[in-house]
Amino acid sequence: MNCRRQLRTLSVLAAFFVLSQGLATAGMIARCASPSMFPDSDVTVFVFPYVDYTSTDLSQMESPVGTELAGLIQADTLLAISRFGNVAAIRMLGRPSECQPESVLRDLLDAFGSGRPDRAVVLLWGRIFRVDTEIYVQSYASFGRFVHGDPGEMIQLPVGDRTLAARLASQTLSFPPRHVNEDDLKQIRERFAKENIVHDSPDERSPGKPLLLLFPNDRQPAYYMTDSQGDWIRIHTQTGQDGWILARAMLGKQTLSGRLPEMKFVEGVSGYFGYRAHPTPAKAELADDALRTFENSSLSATAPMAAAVSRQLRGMLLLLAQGQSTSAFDKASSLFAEAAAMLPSSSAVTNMASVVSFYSDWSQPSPKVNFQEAVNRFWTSISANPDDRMALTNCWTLYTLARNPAFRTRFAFDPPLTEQDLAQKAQQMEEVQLGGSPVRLAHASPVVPWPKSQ
Amino acid sequence: MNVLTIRKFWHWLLLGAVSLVLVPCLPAQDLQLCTDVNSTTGYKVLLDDIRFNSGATDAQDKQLMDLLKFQLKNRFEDLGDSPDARYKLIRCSGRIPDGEASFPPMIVDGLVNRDVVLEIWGEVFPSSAGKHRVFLNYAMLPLPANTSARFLQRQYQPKVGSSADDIVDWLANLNELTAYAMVARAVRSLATGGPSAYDGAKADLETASSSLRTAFGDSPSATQKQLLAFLSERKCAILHDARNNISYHGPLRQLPDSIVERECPAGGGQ
Repeated sequence: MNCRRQLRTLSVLAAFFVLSQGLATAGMIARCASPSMFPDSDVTVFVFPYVDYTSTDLSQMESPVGTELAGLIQADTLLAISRFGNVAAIRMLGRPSECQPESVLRDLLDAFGSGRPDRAVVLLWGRIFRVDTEIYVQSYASFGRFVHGDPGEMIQLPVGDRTLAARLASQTLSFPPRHVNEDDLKQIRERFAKENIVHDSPDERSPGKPLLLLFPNDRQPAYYMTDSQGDWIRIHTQTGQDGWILARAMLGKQTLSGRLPEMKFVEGVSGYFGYRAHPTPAKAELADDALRTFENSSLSATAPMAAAVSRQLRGMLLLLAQGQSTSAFDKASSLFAEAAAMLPSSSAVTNMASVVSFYSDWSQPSPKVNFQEAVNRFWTSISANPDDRMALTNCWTLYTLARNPAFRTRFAFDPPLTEQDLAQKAQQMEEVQLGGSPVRLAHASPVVPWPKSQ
Repeated sequence: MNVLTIRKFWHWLLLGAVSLVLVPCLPAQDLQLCTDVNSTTGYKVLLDDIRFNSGATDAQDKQLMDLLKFQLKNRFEDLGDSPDARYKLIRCSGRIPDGEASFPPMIVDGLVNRDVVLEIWGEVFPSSAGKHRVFLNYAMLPLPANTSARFLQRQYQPKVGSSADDIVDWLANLNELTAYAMVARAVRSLATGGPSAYDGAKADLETASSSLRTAFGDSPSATQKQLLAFLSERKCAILHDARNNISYHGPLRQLPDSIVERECPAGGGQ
């Protein structure tokens, strides 16, 4: 780390000390080459400049349009996610070569990764493609816990003396391109120019000055949100100044999130993490609403993976918000089944549907669970993707569970299976190799364990 | 053997040698437009030209074509595979194969040996009756020569005069684009990796089958049916081999009979 970077980090840390007192929602502008964040935030959304592929030259520089679009998205996201508690939205600046999300995340982990492991990050980046006067915007999102080697978000459900687990289909998603026109571009610039002004009051006619002028002498542009009013947020800067920023991004009469529905997905994911950090019914409802809005948009029809993950997240939120009650499992099962119908060849999606369905049956006191039907659901996932260790482990778990005399009576065996049959199958599965190495039939532990059901 | 005979012998030997050197160069000659094929490692998808049939283009046609190229590039670059299985898209400007005739066995072998799994080229016809006609040709090169679906042409009809959003939606719905590459990658990996490729190939074939069944709809053409049948047959062959090849120790060996019978009702897995 060079001297300048150390100084920058120190100034940011000083800001954290000030900002962390009662920190709720915070914003920042940071360079990709020396990335920063608020290390105490439960959820941080990083918005990278969209790369302009209009020409080879532009694709290698910091594009004005791409930077301004990212600026609008960051401000809008800050306002949208402020309802989820201790959150931050950070706008990244830099050339495409510096702003590779994976390498920026690595740098962030090196600098700030030693804090609480339950913190979450959402990275949003994208590209712009132009044909004549028509412009197309394509976004990508990635999310996870702020740790090295995050195993991903999981459901873990106890069955007998064992646990079944399921993960999301993907935590890195690409969204289909969206069309914006030259007028939209003009409006992005105009709106950005407006949003970049910090006003004395939530009124565009009130006196104001550009946001970056509030941070003289190369101070890190960091601020936190103290209030909101309609489309406006009130900020307090690390330099001790207060003012109002127009945060809701509009393109004409339409909201930016209406034009780019992936922003609703990002909002919903942030809500999921915000809920996991400090659960309240309101957060679950808001996150569900954002994800549902994404699913109902025209975009979701052409983004089956994102639409399936959205349903999985809603199902997980529903289970948690309703205390994993029997009725919650009934309702959530249909969401997981919908996801499975959208992506029948995704073993992760079918595995989650199978886990939840099995647990629903298992938690009923009276009827016996049909063993073959249950285990075949996992075998179907394995057949679709033999490399899915989680489905494989779940399948083996059912064999070992059924072997246990304490739980054997919970199953109906059709065709009949003896204890020896079950033991033999479990043994065979333990000898399975993946990629030439013996498989380890054990579930990874998520950074934040799934709460135990009541 | 007199001197003349010896001269003739050397003459023919020389000619033969030149031919031997030149013939393998033929593919390379065709590939001169795609020099990256030789320098790029890993599975490759060649994106040739997509041209206008009429020659003349208006702004809307150009928009459609540029978007198509952009979307093809996005599709192949976005696949979240492990680095060793990831596709590299190589743009081959100026290259337009003349259908299947441009791919004699030696050319195909040359490409396949360089891990080229898919080549795509196309043609856009002027709008008529309110619709564009876009033909995309997919050459899934590693598929066996006797597979009629190895060269597949698909016709699409995006609406003329539709909004840019409609065109983008149409392109975004072309999930089949990557399915062809997956089919070809599965076949290639099985040919080079044997049992160690069963698991990855099965996953590729499952995903491709699902995408193609959706893309082909309820009434697939004869060629499309053949491709779907080829996929089923390959999946069942993997299941069969997984059970019988003693060097395979993966999960597919353990699949219950009921699952195999459901996937291969004709006994393909037995």
